[in-house]
Amino acid sequence: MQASLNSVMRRLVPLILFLIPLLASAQNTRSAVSVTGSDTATCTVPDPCRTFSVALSKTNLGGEVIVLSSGGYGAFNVTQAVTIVSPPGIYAAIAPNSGTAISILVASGNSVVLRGLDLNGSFGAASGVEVDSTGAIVYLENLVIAGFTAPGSGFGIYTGQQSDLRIKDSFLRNNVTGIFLSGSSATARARVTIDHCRLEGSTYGLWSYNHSDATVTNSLMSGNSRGVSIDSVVSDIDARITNDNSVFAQNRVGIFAIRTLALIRVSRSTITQNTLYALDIQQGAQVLSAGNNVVVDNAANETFSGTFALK
Amino acid sequence: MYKKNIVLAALIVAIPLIANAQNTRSAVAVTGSDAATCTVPDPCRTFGVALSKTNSGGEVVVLSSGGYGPFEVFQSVTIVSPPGIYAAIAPPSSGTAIRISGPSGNSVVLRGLYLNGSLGGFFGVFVASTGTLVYLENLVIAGFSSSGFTGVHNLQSDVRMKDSFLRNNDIGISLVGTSGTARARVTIDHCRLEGHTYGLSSNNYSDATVTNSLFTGNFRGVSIDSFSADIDARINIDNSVFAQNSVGIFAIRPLALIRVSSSTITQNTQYALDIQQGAQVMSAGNNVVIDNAAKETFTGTFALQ
Repeated sequence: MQASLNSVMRRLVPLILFLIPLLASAQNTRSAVSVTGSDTATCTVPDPCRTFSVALSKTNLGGEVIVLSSGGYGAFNVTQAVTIVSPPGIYAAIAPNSGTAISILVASGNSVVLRGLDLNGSFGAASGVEVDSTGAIVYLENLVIAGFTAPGSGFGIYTGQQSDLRIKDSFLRNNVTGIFLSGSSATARARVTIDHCRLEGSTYGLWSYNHSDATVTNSLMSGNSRGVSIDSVVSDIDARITNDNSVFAQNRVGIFAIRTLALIRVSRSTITQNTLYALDIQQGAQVLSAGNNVVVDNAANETFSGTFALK
Repeated sequence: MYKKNIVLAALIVAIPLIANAQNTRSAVAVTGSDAATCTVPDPCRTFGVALSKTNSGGEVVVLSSGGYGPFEVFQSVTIVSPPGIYAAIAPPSSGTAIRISGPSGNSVVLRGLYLNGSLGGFFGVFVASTGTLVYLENLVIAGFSSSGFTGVHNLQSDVRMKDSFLRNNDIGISLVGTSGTARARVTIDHCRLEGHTYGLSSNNYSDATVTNSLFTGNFRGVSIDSFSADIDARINIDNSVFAQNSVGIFAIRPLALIRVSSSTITQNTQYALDIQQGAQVMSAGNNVVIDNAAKETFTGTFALQ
């Protein structure tokens, strides 16, 4: 009998060992969070969790997490391809006391979608969204990112890596820097498209740093110290910005660029009522016009460094 | 005997009427049941059953957030998931999220839905019918990434697409007509097509008008392509942005004709315009084409009037 039991156990143990990881990885393709949820739940729509962190840990790679009710959900890290959606009508806030509201640390090639969230830095957090992955593709849609004013940081959206950010329909308000970009080399660039966004009340609305490309379309920069800025306190900066159909109004400086590798192009845009300069172009930087911009009613410096032709 | 005939005739008339007792407004909810009447106070669980209980020309509304499963539309109908509800259609492993069939002349409205192909679904919206008017509004269609498959596939109807996001599909929108006079047509307004092999792929016998839209992170933003024969396809593009794709606009062979006005083509890493074998990509002369790796020249111009 004992021999027989041992024989059964010898067969069962490998089976159990085989099953444990399978059970541990039983995940949702669609998870859900709610302010009435519990982190001991299954994180499904009928049985939602309370925090994104736990919901993400129970979500398949490439799955989705949806928000079911209004409230605060706490900071979290994204370590996998995922889509996180708070639909219109739900106010899902992330407002930590320190650190970063949402850190993105995924493998190269992974897509992360954040849609409809309100990131609030007024309790002392350093950054709204920080992309620390190389080769990530991050879609930021319908976000409000406001109040990230911590001294020495204060970034609405930050990336210091080769990554692609696709920002649409979002409001960035009262951050030290709205969006910060820095790649790691000339061929490993940080890239962003910014479409239908509003960047307001920041020191820098968009701060393009070394090895970065930005396209800004249909967007508004107002009430910033600088609307868009290619700036470095030290060396030359390989950064390019294409601005189209956008507005730079009532900033201190509309557009700032410094040193010879800084290259900004502006078309069909309006630069007006900036209280120091429309354009602050220093040390050989180029800010080129397509010749179809409105640059009027600024305190000074309304002249582009050159033109480029429409086609 | 005469009375019996009258009663029998009345029954014969009444039976189909009874069978057709339908809702003008149906409803679905994640807490609903497909044995219900599919009304707002008594919602069903799936669109398939709700549609079967809805009059032609009626509507189906979504009452709560969750997944609702793939379905096919045979009738004129308006399907609405209002803001505040997350209604997902995520086909398991393969298949189509929403297939539109039915006779010519039907009008189908899909509004506010999230179509998710990340479980292996092939098509987001497949318009199989001829001569249907399909209104696609405020949709998110993402993750239909199997090679050759598509967010919105239109064979021979008129698709009116507005305010929608297409993301990480293999092809965002694909058009295939059946003859020079039976064309697949689409208007795309205020949409974003991102992360595709082809954002818009116009094949034979198709017409597309693209306005106020954004194409980023695609291999090609818009494309008229064919391995073999000439392609009768036209695309008009106005006030749109092609940024940070590999190729902004691609066209091949003499019948391919794309016109571009008031648009910005920038920071594309291979070519702004890849124009081959006699295709035409014409400019109104008011486009920004700058900071691309190469090929920033149109084949010709057309006049503003």
